[in-house]
Amino acid sequence: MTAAAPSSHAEQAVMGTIAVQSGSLVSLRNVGKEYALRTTGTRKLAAVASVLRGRAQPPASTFKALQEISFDVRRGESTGLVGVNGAGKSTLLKLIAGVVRPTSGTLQVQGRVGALLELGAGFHPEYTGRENINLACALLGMSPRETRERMDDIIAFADIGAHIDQPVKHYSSGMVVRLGFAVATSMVPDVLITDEVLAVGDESFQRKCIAWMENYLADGGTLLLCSHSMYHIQKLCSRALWIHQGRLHRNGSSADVTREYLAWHEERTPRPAKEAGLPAAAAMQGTLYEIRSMQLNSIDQSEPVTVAQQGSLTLSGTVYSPDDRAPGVSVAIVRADGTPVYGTFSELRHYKPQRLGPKLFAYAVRFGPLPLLPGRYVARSHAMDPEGMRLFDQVERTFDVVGQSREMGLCRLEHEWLVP
Amino acid sequence: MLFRSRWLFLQFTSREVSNRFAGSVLGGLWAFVHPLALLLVYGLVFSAVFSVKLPAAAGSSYLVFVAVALWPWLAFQEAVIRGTSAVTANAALVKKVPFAHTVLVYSAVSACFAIHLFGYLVVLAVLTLRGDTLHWEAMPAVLLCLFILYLLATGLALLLSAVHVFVRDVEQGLAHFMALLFYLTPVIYGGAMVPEWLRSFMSVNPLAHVFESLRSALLTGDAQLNVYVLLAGLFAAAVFMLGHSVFSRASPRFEEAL
Repeated sequence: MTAAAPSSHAEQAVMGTIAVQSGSLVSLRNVGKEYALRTTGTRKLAAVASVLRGRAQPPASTFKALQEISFDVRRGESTGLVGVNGAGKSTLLKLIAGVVRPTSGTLQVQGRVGALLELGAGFHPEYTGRENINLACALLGMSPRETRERMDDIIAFADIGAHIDQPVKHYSSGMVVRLGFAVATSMVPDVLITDEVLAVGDESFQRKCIAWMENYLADGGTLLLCSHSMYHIQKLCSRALWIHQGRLHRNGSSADVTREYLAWHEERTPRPAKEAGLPAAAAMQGTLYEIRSMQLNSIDQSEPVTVAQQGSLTLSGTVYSPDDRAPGVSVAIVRADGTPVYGTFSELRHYKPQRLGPKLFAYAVRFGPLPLLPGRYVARSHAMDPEGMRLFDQVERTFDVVGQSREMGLCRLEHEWLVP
Repeated sequence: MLFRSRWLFLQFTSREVSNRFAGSVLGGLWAFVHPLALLLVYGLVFSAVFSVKLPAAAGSSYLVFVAVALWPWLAFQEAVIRGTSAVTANAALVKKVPFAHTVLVYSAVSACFAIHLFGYLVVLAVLTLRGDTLHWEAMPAVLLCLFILYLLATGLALLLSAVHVFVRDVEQGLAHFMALLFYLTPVIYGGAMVPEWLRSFMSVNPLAHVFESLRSALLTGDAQLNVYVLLAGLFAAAVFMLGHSVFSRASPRFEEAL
C-alpha cells in the first residue's frame, strides 16, 4: 500500500524518490497533515472544488495537525508513541493505517496493516457478536474461509460466554472491547497499529492483551503503540517517538523518551516552592550567608547533568560567610515537580566546610550508590548560619538519572522476595 | 478494487437488507407493503377518481400498467437516496477503519435493487397467475433496462455521496428532486398520453425512454430497443464514470469532513 500525497512542491517530489530503506515496513518523509478549520457555506464549496481538483486547502484556513514527520519503522521493531492530548498521535496512526492521506510528504507502508484505532468501531448494535465478527473480519480483509476458520479462536479469546449470540447493544463497553480485540488478534498483520486500546477493559483482559502483544512481538511482529501509560510503552516498545504540537520532538529508546516525557510533565506542573527565598531587600550582597557556586559531580552548568542509576552523585560548592565563621550547609534532592525526596544538613554530622580564603568556605557531599529511579531531579544547596538555625538562600542544579528500570516510584527500596 | 472487497460487499449488502427490517415484526413484508400501498393509491386516484383512459395499444388495466413500472422506479429512487447518504451514515467506520469506501455505495444501491426486484418478481408472478398477459420472452430487454437503471443509480449515488460528505445540503435537495423526477418520468402514465407539444421536453429525460421500453417489452412483447434506450445506457455509463472518478478523488479526504 502506498499513499503518496499529490506533491505540488519541488522538494516533495524529490523526497518521493527516496527509496524505502531495506527492512522498513513504514517509512515517513516530511509528512504533514492539515485540516480545514472554517466551515462556512462558501468555504465548504471551495473545499469541494479543491478536493476535486486534487489540490490542498488554501493555507489560511487550515490547522496543521502534523508537520515534517520523518521516521522509519523496521520489521520486528516495536515503537511507542507518546505525547499530550491533541499532539497529533492519533492523526499519525490514522495516516499509517491508511484512513487518511498526508497533505504533504511521502508515506510508504509495506505489508498487511492491522489497525486498532477504535475497538468495535464497526460493530452494529442490533446484531449479535457472532454476526458482527463476520463484518469485522471482512473489514480486516479476511476471506469467508479465513473467517470461518478463526471464528472459534475469536470467540474463545473474547471469552464473553453466551453473550456472543446476543445483540451487541446489550453488551457492556468492556465486552465490546474484548470482542474488538479478539477480532484483531485473529489476523496476524505485518504491522499492528493500536491507539490506546489497552486503556479499556478490566485488569485481567489488559494482561491478556499485553501477553498477546508480547507473543506477537516475540514472533517477529511489528508494533506501533500509542499509549498514555509509560509502563506499557516501556514494557512493549524498544523505541519511542514523542509527538509534540504536531512535530516529532524526540525519537529514541523508549526508556530515554519516556523518562524525558515524564520529566517534562513534572516540570509543567510545578508545586509552589515551600522554601521561599528571603525578601529581596534582605538578600543584600555581603551581609548574609550564601552559596556562591554549586557543582554536581564537579560540573557547573544549568543544563541537566546525567547520572547513572546506582551511580554516585557529589554535590560541592562554595559558601560565603559574612563573619568568616564556618557556615552550615543544607542539601536536598527533590523530584523535578518539587516532591521532596531527601534533605539533610551539615550540622547533623558535625561537618564543617573547609576555609578556602577570607569569608569563603568549600563543602562537598557524596550520595551513592544513588537509589533514585530514572527521571529528572533537582539538587539544592542552602547556606545556613553556623548554629544551623537559619536557612538562607537556595541554589539549584538539575540532574537526570538514567537507566533501564520498570520499577515505580522515586527510589529503590532494598528488598528481597521470599519463599513463603 | 471491488473484486478484492467482494466479501465485504456481500457482508455490507446483506447487512443493508436486514438493517431495513431488523427489529420489526413484519420484517421483509414491509418491502411489499409500501409499494403495494402506493399502487393502490395511484389505482384509486387515477383510475377511479380521474378515470384515466389508457390507449388501446397498452392492452392491460391501469393497475397492471403502473405495477410493471412502479417497482423498478422505487428501486431506482431509493437506491439514489440511500446511496447518497451511505458514506455519511457510516461515518464512524470511515473515520476509523481503512477500507474501500466505494463498497458502501455499491452495497446501498444493490440492497435497494435486491429488495425491490424481489418484490417485482413476486408481483409479476402474481399478475401472471391472475391471468394478465405478461411477455416473459421479452425478459432480456427488461433486464437491460433494469441494468441501465442500476448503472445510473450507482453513478448518481457515487457522485452525490462524495459531494454530500462535504456539503450536507445534497440529501435535503435530493428528496425533492426525486419526487419531481417521479412525475416527469412515465411511471404512473404512459408516454403516449403526454400531449404532443410536451413530448420533446419529456424525451430529454433518459429515464423516460428506459421506462417506456421496459413497459412495452413486458406488456406488448416489444423487445426491440430503440436508439434512445441505448443513448440512455451510454448516458448512465458516462454518469457512472464521472461518479466513480469524483468519488475516488474525494474518498481520501472523507475523514477530514466527517
